Amino acid sequence: MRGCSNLEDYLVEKLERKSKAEFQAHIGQCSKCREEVSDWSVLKEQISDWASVRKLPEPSPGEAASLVVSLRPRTARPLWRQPVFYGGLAAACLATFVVVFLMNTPVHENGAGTSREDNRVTRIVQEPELPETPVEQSPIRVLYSLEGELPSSKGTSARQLSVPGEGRLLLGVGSDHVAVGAHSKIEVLKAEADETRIKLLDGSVAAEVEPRDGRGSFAVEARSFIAKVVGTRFMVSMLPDSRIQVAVDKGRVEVVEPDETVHAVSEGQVLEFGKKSPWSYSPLAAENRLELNGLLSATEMDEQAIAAEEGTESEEPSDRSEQNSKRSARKREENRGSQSFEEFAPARQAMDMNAVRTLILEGRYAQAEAALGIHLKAAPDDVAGWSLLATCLRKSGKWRGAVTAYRQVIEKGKPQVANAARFDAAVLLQDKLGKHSAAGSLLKEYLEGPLLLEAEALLRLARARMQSGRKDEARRLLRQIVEHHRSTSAAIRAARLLNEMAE
Amino acid sequence: MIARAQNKKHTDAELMEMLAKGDMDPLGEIYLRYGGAVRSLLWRLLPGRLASDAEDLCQEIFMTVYETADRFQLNREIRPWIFGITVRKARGFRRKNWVRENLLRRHAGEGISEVLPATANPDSVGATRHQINRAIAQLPRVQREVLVLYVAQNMSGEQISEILGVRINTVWTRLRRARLAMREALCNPVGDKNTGEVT
Repeated sequence: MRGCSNLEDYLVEKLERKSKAEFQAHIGQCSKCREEVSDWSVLKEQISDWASVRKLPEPSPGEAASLVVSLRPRTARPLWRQPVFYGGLAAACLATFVVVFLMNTPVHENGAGTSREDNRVTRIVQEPELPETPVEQSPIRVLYSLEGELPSSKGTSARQLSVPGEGRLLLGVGSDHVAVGAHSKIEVLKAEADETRIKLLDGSVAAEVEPRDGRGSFAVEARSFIAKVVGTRFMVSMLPDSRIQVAVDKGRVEVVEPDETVHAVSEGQVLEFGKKSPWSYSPLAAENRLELNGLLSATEMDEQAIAAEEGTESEEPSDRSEQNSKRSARKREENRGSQSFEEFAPARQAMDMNAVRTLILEGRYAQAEAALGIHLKAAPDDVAGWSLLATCLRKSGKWRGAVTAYRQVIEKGKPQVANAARFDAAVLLQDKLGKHSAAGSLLKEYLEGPLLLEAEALLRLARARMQSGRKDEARRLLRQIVEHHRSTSAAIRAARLLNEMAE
Repeated sequence: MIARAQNKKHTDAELMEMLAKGDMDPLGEIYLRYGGAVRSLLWRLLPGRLASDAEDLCQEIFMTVYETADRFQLNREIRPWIFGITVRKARGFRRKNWVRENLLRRHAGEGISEVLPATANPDSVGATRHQINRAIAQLPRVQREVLVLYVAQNMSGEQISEILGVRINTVWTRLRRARLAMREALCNPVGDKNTGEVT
């Protein structure tokens, strides 16, 4: 019997080696202890199995950045969120363009030397001087162009690309993607396998850079500052008052001042600076992220434009032919390399769901709905997008739209996701739209799939059956809840309903 | 320059030190390292609750991590410390729902006792995940915490003692009671037992 007293210690592996061996010998003789050990082992396996199902996914870097941004104590309202910003930006860009153009004219027009400022930049990064002649056989590919002015084949302008109007230009530079925003101008100083260097002359430029693993570099210069990156997703903009903004969505960017001071900008941060103004950090706002993603993603409009250019059939009605003819002014580089639109398709999915979630959390449903609408037209199979749209519509009280979005999730999602959508759709159908029969069908499907809210679903199904006059079935379902889900609050409501029906 | 910054992996203690100084950026890295485990632990501590409840609570937990980082002792392990916050947040969440659940349970006790049949599943070996979930939900809160941390999270008795702020012998006692209660619940799923829903 002395051995039996060690049972508990043995089960939690507290016994030392000698005592453990003694107890194992004891198990061979004591059937009670043997049974206890066996039961505990089985129970542990069952709980481990339950835990493996009840496991939530690891967070993504985007989620982590979003968490930091959402938890960061909100200070002053960021500049780009002020209404005057967008209005003032256009005027300021024009003024900035003139200044920057004048500053850079000696370097870029004669190509015979570098200004004092550029010499300083070259020294800072300790790299060879810029080539004096234009890069030949540049690996740059123009993927999409909306009102973009593409480089001609002659002179130094071959390196300059601009978007004078409300368009954008999407470039493939090696394995990276660079997007030039509206009213913006860039110059590609260097575009080689191991080094890309872009100068922002006006407006804004966004980039999605493949990880460099310590080899090669990708840098954006704005005035005398350099934003240097290795594997990231970011945007550099020229702001009014000669200030520059660096917004980082993924990865990390280092801004190098002319005096070699380095300022790091982390994921989810925005840095604003200028020669004579203080350096200020702020969190990346949802609008910022949407703008960045919008610049870098390929939209349906782009797809139509390419289809029109390639002479394929367009689904657009004839009254939009004028718009098409305007778009036909856009040029596409003849030799785009081997990259096709389909190969670039993943970028269409690049919309940051966290930014949309933030909009929904802040109650800005119309903006979230609009962003999701564009995204889902480009990526109609994105279940997460449909799910967010359903949430957005539900929160804004658009019940029918929400149910439609949930049906897309049901159709396209994995079993567990689809089943959760079935439940949510059934709730709306039952509570908001009064469609008990449709709700009943969804709930029945829900109960056949992987589920979490069995009792709740059974209760709702019972109510739906009551509304349809099928009282016997409703009573059977209610009894089932009471019998098998006693610990849930649904059982209490089921018992109440049973009592009411009996009366 | 940036490559250096990216390749350098900060230790947990370094991240906590930065956090304690008011720099919020390391919170993202801590979330990446422990967010998944925290969310899963929350969901397991709240059987009967949706995963979205765990997701919502998770944000609160990491806010608390940031707010209390200056109290973290750098020579300690971070995981038990974060799990301790997680357990306390889960208790708080249940407490908030206490009134509603208690009222409903009281109603159930009066109204449904006569319609409850004594169905039982004597085969504990064949208990399904659903039964396990229900049995864990029926455990008293203190027993559930120890059982989940020990079996589902693979924490040692010493770590659980640190997380819960109780003596090690208390941990073993609770674990033994949880084991017996689970066996009882799985053998007699609708027995008249404390459901453990109220903390």
